[in-house]
Amino acid sequence: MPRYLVEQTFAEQLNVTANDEGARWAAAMLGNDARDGVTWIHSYIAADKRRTYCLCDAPTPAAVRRAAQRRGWPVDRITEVHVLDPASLR
Amino acid sequence: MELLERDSPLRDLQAALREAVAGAGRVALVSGEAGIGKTALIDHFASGQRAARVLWGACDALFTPRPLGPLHDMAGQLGGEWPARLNAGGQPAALSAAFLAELQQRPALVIVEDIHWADEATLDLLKYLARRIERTTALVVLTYRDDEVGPRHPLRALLGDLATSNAVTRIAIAPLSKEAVHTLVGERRLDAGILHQQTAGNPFFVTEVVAASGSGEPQSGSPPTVRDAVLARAARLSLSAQAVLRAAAIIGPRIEPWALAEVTGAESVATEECLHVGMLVAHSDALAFRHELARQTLLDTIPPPQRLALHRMTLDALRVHPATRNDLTRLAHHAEGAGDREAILQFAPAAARRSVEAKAHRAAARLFELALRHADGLPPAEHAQLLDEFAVECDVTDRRPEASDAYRRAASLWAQAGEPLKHGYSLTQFALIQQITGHKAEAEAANRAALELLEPLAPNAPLMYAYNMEAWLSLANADNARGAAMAEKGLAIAHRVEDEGPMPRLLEVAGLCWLYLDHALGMEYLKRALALSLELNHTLRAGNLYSNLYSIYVDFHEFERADELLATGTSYVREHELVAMWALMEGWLAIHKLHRGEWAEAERIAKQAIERGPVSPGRGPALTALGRLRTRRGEPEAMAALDESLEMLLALGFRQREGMIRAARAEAAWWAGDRARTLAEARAAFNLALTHQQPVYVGELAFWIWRAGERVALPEWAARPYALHLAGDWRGAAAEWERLGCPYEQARALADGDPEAQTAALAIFERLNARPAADELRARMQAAGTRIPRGPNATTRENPFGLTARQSQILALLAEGLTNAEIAARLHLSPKTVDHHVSAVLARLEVESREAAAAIARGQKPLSP
Repeated sequence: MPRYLVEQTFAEQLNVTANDEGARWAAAMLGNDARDGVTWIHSYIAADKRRTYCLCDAPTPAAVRRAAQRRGWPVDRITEVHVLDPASLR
Repeated sequence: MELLERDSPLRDLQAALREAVAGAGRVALVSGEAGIGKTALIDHFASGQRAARVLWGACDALFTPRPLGPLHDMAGQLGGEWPARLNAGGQPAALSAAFLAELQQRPALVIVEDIHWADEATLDLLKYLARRIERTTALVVLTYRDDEVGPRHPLRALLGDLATSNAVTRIAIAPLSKEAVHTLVGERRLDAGILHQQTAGNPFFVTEVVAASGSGEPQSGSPPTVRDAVLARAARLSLSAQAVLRAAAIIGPRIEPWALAEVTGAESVATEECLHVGMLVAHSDALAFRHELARQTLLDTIPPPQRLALHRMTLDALRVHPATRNDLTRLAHHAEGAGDREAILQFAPAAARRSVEAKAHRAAARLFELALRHADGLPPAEHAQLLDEFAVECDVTDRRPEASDAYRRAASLWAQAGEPLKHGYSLTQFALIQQITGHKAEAEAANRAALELLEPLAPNAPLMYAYNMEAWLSLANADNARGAAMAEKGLAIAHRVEDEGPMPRLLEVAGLCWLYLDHALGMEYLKRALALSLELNHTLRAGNLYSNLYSIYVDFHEFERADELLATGTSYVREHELVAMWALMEGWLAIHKLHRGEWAEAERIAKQAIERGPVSPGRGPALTALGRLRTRRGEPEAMAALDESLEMLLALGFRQREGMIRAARAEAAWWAGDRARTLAEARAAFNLALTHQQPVYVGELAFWIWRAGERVALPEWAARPYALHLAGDWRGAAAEWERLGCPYEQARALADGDPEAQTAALAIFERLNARPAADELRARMQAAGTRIPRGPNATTRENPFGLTARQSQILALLAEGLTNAEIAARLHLSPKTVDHHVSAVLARLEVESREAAAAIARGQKPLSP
């Protein structure tokens, strides 16, 4: 299954904390994405907390779009990527 | 796509193209509201003809459009040196000439779309072409949205220009009829009648609604606006396709496929869907929205954070690609959209400077403004430089208050940066604008500061400009001696710094200052200034000098020289499109015509000049001319015009010309029967006129003082006809006026003569329709028992030239400068009849030309051919 990098810019800051609430929120997101066959792997969030780079596995870019729409998240660009991990090259 | 109800405009276009190909180039103006189908019509027309090569370009719907955007579009189609030529930039005049040459090579169909968005450089190019189109084998088709061109729109000037051209076909595109809407609806379940009403027959709106209606579903209601129709259509696309449309909206109006691909990443495959559905269309090397309305609509739906991101990604793509990395205006646009301060400062100033080169000053001003919004934190020198350049552009685009403010801020930043020369220069420029906008005190203070700063330094160019400004300020204060001294200082420096550039300006100011101290020397300087300006191709300066010299000749009653200069000066300012200079000449032309007795022309020209608006340069003299005319004809509101004229003069300074206005006011007061006022007005400027050694003013003012019953001493350099008249030699005075070609003044002198002279004077007054003077003279003659000829008809009947009454009437109007058409209108005759009569008159008088006949009628010898 292809992997995609999703760039997003938010109007408000994204604030998620590692606690019960955070865990519940993450679970909801994962469930949401699964409905389109999208697996959210993890995200990188910039220091200003308004730009994120999300990594996910999905069958098509359209699926990513749909999942994001369902989440209510704005998407700037979806790029297909492959992992280049120094560890895996050894 | 089938084209409905466009047969008539197509025929017009085809006819125009035939004429062009046959050797007489044409312009076609295609107008209509947005979405009316101008592009569809033009595309259909262009693809349906084989007679001419097609060159297509469009104007961008961007806040700061690319200078000469359409020409850049055509570069590829033109081939040869064109792409390189355009990238190199260079003088717009050269590009225009080169393009014109292309159009003379072989038949061409040149299409420029959406000229309501045209930048200044493009408008200049179009104006240039339109004036010369008949020399080409090209049809230039220009489309525009007439509902977006208000009275102050930059396109108005071009449209006005084209209005008087015979080579222009105007085609207005009409909305669709109900029948046509019906055809478009076809089998779908839509009510064509309601749809026609809702869309007002706008083809784009109709087709959007039809497309959005899908197949066969009954409509509960159609979208109320075009916007809703477009969004409805977009909503039927997949989410990825909608994302592609949003990206395209930001990249556009022109959408390069590689840019779209980069910005949309993995979703770029959805572009195909957009094309398939018709929301995007493919041109030769780029994509575009089907209509600009659609792009705008989609643009409006993008939330701000995505807008920023899309601009950022677009900028990233465009700035590295060879095809777009030099399109600085476009890069600046996206930098602004992305809020990227660094990119803005990188691209906006460069884009602005490119626009300055292309003479697209409005765009340049906006781009500098963009850069300046993000300039805080720049080193003072860089910041000041931007402000200075911004100020120049504001000055040229009639944003004077902002120019003034920018120079002021630049000056203090240059001080901070420790750059006294730049500091001084900015101060002088600030002073100049303050003076022009009527803030004399501020101007004087600023320039004084500049001088204090610059004088201690080694001879430098800014000091030259400061002296020049100081001379100008002195002139405005009527302190001609100081002005001349300052101007000479400036000229001395010009020689030291070996900079020929400012010489014409310095010579001009020096000339104007010397003019009232030593007339011959002043004229010498002015003529040198004109010659040098022409040599250095300083068109603005040359235009200024032509108009100044012309006004001086008229002012000093050197009418022959004035006539000569009028011809060369007029053609120069027209050729170089120096509207302000022409306006000034026009105002003085009204005075010129007035003195020559061509009153109908004088009135027409004066009114034309006044109509140009409250700040037009020719308004002052035009008002004076109108005031005099009304006085002499006995029409109302004479003093009102002269009040305004005086007010304008006093507000701006330069009281050197006050004598003329006061003389006109004295005349008005006299004919209003107010002896005291006549005296007051004449005395008000008499001493000033003496100081300035203005022979004509002194002469006329003295005349009114004398006429009002007071003694007055006339210097020996006073204008001859007045000197003779006041010395009692009415006959000599009349002869002088006749030599100068001034019938009214001639009659005024004759009126003080013997009965035979008075009879001749009366005839002239009646012919000119100078009611007050005629009535007063007739009354005097009656009181003295002199026999008076029986009114105007008698005069023409006893015509010494042997003309019939009708012929004399026509000759009289001809002498006033009316054209045959105007004479026909005035006398309610057909133009053909007037032509016959004019020919007969010329034959009777045994002359070849109207001018000769007119001269005879005015009592002058006709000029030899």
